[in-house]
Amino acid sequence: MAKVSRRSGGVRLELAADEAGEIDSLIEQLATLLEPAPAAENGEATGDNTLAGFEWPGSDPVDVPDDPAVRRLLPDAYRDDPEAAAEFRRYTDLTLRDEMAADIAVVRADLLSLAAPPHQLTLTDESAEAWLRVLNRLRLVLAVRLGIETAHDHEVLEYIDPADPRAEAFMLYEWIGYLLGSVLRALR
Amino acid sequence: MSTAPPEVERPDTDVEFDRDVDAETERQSSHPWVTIVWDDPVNLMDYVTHVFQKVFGYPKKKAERLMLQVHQEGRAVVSAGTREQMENDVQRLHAHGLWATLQKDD
Repeated sequence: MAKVSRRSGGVRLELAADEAGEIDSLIEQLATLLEPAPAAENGEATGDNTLAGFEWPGSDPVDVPDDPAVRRLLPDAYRDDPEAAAEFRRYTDLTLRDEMAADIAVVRADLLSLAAPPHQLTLTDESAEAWLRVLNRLRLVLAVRLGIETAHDHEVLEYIDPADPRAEAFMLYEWIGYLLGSVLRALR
Repeated sequence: MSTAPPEVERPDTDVEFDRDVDAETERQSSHPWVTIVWDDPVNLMDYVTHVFQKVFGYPKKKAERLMLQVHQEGRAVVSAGTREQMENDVQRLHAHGLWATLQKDD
């Protein structure tokens, strides 16, 4: 069972090999979800054009993600202004996805260390922050998959039939919440 | 937001005016854009407080007060400034998984 505690050097994390493997598998799926979106089809010619040939992040429009889970991680920044929201997305989408990928790289490197005996690791404050963000993103994605949109949805799931196909995902959701809460308390 | 895990500490809810309230009002009137964080049933209360402290450098008490406002009222204005500043704040909040938007202050 996962153990999280406060150490002078940071947050001490202890995970069983199967727990580390479970998280790693979820994170791998998260990484796939967060792969940069293809540029929106805007009908513009993309042929040889020296003056327009400099490409930098945010130079192309980016579609609103089709997947509601990705949309939850990269939501519209403007509620009632689709044009401004599209412009924000255009200039931030790649940066945000890069930052999320960097967090994932930190956590996966830590998980690799944790997979070997003694299955313990002291996280620096910086990597603990990356853990918090990644665990939280996993919960957000699982919540979308589980259809948790209100506090009531969550309460209903607490009485889920173990045979229900969503039961395992809900267990993971709760367990990741426990882990996230434990890391937060250890950071205080 | 979610109250799980069950060991969430109840923050001190004493009403107390922040010393920086005047400076903030001043900033709002000269830069009428605000960042709003919306409630969701997933983000843990402790996590939201932590993000407010980390992203904005708010003292714990202020971060907790804003977190509770989001939780109880469904939304809270968490910062105010120029449009560019608010876009930056929203981007950082999105990087932490919070559901944030910006708009002109009404």
